[in-house]
Amino acid sequence: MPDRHLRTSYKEDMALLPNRVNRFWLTVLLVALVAYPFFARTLPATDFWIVLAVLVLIGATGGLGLNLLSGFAGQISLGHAFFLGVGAFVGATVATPATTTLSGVSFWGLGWPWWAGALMGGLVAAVLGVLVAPAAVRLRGLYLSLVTLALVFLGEWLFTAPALEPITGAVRGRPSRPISMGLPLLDDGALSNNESLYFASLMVAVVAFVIGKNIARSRVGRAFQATRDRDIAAEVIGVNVTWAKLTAFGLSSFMAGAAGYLLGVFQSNPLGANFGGAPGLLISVEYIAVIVIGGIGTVLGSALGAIFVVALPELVSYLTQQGWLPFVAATGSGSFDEAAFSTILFGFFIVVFLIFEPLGLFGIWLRLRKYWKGWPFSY
Amino acid sequence: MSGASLLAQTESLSLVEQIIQLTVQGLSLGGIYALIALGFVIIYKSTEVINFAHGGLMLLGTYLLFSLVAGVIPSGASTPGGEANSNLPEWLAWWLDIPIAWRFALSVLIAALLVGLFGVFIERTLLHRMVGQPIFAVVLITLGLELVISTSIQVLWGPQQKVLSSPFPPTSVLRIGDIAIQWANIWAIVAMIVAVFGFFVFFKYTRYGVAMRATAFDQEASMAMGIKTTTVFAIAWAFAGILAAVAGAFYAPTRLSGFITLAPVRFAALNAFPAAILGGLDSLGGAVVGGLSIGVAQVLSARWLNPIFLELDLPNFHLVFPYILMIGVLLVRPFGLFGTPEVRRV
Repeated sequence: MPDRHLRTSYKEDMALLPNRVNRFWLTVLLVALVAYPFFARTLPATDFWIVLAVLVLIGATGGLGLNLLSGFAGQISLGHAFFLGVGAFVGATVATPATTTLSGVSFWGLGWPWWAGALMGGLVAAVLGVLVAPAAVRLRGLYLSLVTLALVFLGEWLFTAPALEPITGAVRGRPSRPISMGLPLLDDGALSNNESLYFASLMVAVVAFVIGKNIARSRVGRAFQATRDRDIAAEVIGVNVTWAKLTAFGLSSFMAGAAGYLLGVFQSNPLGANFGGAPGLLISVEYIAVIVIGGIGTVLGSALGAIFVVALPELVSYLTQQGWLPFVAATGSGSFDEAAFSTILFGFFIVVFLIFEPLGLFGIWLRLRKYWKGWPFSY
Repeated sequence: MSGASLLAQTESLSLVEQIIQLTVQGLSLGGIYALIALGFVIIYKSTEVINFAHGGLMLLGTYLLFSLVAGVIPSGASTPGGEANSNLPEWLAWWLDIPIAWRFALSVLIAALLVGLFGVFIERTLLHRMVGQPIFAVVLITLGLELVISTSIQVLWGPQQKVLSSPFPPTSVLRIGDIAIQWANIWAIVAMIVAVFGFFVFFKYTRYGVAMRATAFDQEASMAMGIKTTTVFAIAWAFAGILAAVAGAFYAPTRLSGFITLAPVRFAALNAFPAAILGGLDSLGGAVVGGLSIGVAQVLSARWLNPIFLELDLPNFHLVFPYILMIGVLLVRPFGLFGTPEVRRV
């Protein structure tokens, strides 16, 4: 990191939260995150703000997974959407009771609590991720990215296959039970489905970020980075590269699976076709946008990138409604609509950030912090 | 591309005739894959970048070709879908009087040149700045570019389906006994052979071809020998653009019966990745072999493997078969069949 204050001991250097300032701001952040839905209740468009936050939290969790794999361990993956899809369907199967729909499809389901869904979705995705990893051990760099691209197409095939209909619902998708939580401390005691989903996503995201931060600062993270930078040199100094790649794939797909389960709950009827093929590739690219724009190889960057990527389409849509973007038509008109404009902006920002600010928003944050630390002196 | 469209009119034939007809269809599909894969390989060889924007280039080529053949100037969502309502200005109206065969050929040439120029433009404006940066970043840039190009095309030409008229409509077939082969398929194979032969001559005998091979072999040494690597990169991108446009010109008539929409063309390029990988990312011959074998394997698997998987309730196996083949080959030979194994140093 280009800028940080003086550390006087190894213990301090390795600490999760080295000083009081860190601890203070983290507490403020957590309190703000918990208070957010109750604050949103006072706003006119409550559900809009909560849904936005849910998508940011899901994006941050999945983005952190991809960042551990691509940013820390240097394994480029275009197959993130596949693991999200696995999480969505396995999680839904675990957390939804068995049902038969009107159209006569009977879905398997265990009806366990939501956290079991997130956990199992993550675990099954992780197992599949570890199964892909041998390819990563054999292949390097760009060849690997193309194998993971194959995952997206294999995913489309499997998710829509009639053979898996009791799990995925084939072409029609399967129901994923909404999460509902009670809040004993409040008078009315109940949270809306969206609010429950928010808290579930918040818990998953907090767990993921604690894991992510701990990995980044520990032996495992250093092994990842060594594998990324010089894999043969890493092997020579005693890093088990095979093991590092397996772990990276496992962790990454675990987080993707958990995030995928939550995404499935949000969609309430996750559809296989949306996680594979062309739409799936677009999801994978969106997650790449999250880590590139947020900051490759940084834990905080995943969250910043998720905020940016989720907020951008909403901002475009807001500005269009305000009439500030006269050249953008309303959604669904087929011409230059909001979705097309957002997609172009995604592509544009990926290119611009890679050329001008490779560390992404995190890099900008570092520079701002450094600037204000020394202000009014330049250094 | 559904399994049924690959297997048109084969039910009544004997086994040998089926094999012949399907192999020709496979070779035609494979020829297009080979053209696309050559585009990947040429850029990978000279710049070590996998160009995810290739689908975008192919899309641009196909839409430009449509516009040229049908005399339609793109005008946003209301762009007409066929030549019946061409919107050329009056002083250009003579263009539509040219016979379709000549108009198509000229249009392919012009579209290929324009897309080639566009490739050079991309290289000059964006990728040129990234020389010396991590490959990872450059690859992601091409991915971002793909989004920008494809969406811009959708905006310019509108989402409406376009009809590309070609001198070889799906109804014109060559009959040998009971075997029926579409002329479009034969022309696709011919175009592939011409393009491949042209490239081999270029690489073997021309000054710039030798310069490109030298740059691919050792960039620093070739710079020291006085080769302008920037020119080499620009040529590589120009070729990739040309190949993408030609592939698009034959993909639409052979695979889509001339009906162009955004998604299938865009993802045809992705479907050619297994071809490039199978042959080895840095081998021109490998791209051709890989393309042809993936094409034939896909068509034959649609005929003989699909029924087996259908019994397991897993339809459309031929769509993923190329990827499974690719993974299988990569696990045995990590650099493809003809790729150069990378020498890794600490």
